[in-house]
Amino acid sequence: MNKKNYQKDFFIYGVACFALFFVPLILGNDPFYINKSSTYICLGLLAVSLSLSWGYTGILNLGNAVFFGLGSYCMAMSLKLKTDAVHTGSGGLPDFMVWNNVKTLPWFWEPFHSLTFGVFAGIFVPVLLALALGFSILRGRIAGVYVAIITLAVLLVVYLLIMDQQRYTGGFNGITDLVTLKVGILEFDAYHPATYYLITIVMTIVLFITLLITKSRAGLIFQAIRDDENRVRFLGYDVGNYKTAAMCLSAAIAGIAGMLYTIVMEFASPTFLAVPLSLSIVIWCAVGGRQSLLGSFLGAIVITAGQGFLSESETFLHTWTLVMGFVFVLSVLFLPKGLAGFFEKYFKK
Amino acid sequence: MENKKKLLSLESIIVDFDGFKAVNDFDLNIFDGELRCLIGPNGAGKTTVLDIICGKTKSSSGKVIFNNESITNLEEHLISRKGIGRKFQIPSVFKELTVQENLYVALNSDLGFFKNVFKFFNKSDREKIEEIASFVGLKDELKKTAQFLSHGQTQWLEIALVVLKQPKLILMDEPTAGMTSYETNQTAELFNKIKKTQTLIVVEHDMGFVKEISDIISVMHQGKLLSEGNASFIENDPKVKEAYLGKKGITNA
Repeated sequence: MNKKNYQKDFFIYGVACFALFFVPLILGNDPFYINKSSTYICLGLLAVSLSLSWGYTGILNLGNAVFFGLGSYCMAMSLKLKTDAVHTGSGGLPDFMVWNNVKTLPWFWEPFHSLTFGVFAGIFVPVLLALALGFSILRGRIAGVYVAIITLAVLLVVYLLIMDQQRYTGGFNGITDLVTLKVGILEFDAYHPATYYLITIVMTIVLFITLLITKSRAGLIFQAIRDDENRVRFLGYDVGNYKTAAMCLSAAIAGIAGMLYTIVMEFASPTFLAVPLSLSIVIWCAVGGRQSLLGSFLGAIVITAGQGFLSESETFLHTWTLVMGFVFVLSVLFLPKGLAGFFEKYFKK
Repeated sequence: MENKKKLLSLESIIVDFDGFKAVNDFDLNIFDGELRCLIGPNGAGKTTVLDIICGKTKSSSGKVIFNNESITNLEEHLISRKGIGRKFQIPSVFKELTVQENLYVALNSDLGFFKNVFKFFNKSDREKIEEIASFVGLKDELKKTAQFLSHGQTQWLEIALVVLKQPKLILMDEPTAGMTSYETNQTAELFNKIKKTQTLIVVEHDMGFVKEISDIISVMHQGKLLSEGNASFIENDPKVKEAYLGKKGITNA
């Protein structure tokens, strides 16, 4: 609220983002770890998206991965259409369509020839879905656990649609064998530090815009809605509109994270919008501190990196899920506000 | 009262909760500038009447006229924008925000999302917030998170949120419930200050408090208006005595 607090937060966020730029140097530009770190940052951004809707506005969106997945597919569609003709059918038809006896490129694939359109769609398709959800459930006064159930159901519906429409979406296999992203003379190979920097820069920009929004009056109104929705309504605010806005912003962030994820993973897969990932986001935010954007971001990184580390180590090969579960239980029991709450408590002033 | 402008009128309001008529053919007229107390035994329908006025509950039939226009069953935020503020029985403030932030949320006439999305706290906001905070006696608590306020302070904070919007009419539901006698006295003083600029309807059980602040008292019983008048009139009305106050009268109730 007061200026000092603003400055402190911007400073902490700035330091954290700045530090991320040195990660490739520490890793000695090892391609495998650079790629891993890039994926963690994408997932971190996904946690920021849920932090905004759940931690700030109180909308527990269990289907948040649907926005991530849609963003990811939009990017993949654009990159797929740019692959060399050797790997595709006649006239640049994607390989999986050829295998599924699709003769011509479906109409909704056409505009993805343009990468600009792909990026645009990667943000606006999720936002449009959020808008539809907002108008139908949030403005209809559905709240709390019902929102969680409905969003989870929506996630499943989209997931099943993508699995079912193999001819147009690649089904179970997703969209694979993508061309590397090229912007002008820059080429973003998934294992190259350039991609890491691209992702970190985009993440930093998005994180700071989100921080600015949460510090604005609208951000306070979001939090007020989380604390007491009725009070906000009786102060003259249209709560449904604000909740829809929060969900749209959250969807846009998740869409961007999804697009970046496609670039590092080099494919889009239905697992990007499956239930396990979607529920993991909730855990990342809970462990990191859902009421802090940076906390959620770091929570995602700590947990996904921890998972990566444990599942690759021989000692925990078979038990790493237990360890992660234990960490989650501990943080719920002892850190109700997550890591962010812990640091705030012990390092305040 | 006759020469004053009628600010709010309820005309034969009926609220039907699945067959139970919480409010049954109820009429009420509130004039500009008065402080009306609404009393009655538990279940008389007082809170429901407030809910009807501010849009929280929808009436089954009847009309609510505010400032010469019908606001019957409008959405809550639209009624609020017409100039009706509501304070709830259970104090409703934004628990995880500071007092200052709570007030900043209420201090706003541009209510749309896009008008607020990159808007930040400025100096004139600070002045207004400090002014209202000293008005309700929370000037020293501005930086405190609302969940750490005492019960009385929480009530005052919510009163401040409501008053800050400068509504023409304020509805208060049991503002002194759970307060210490010291806090009740402070609240009575606060109400006498608010009364100077705003019209109020106050639902209250504390008869001492009612006598302290009210002009006219309306007594409800079983969803209907039982009696209306000043404190001494109500005190001596046999119907009221029977239904509510007991034989000993208002002072010892």
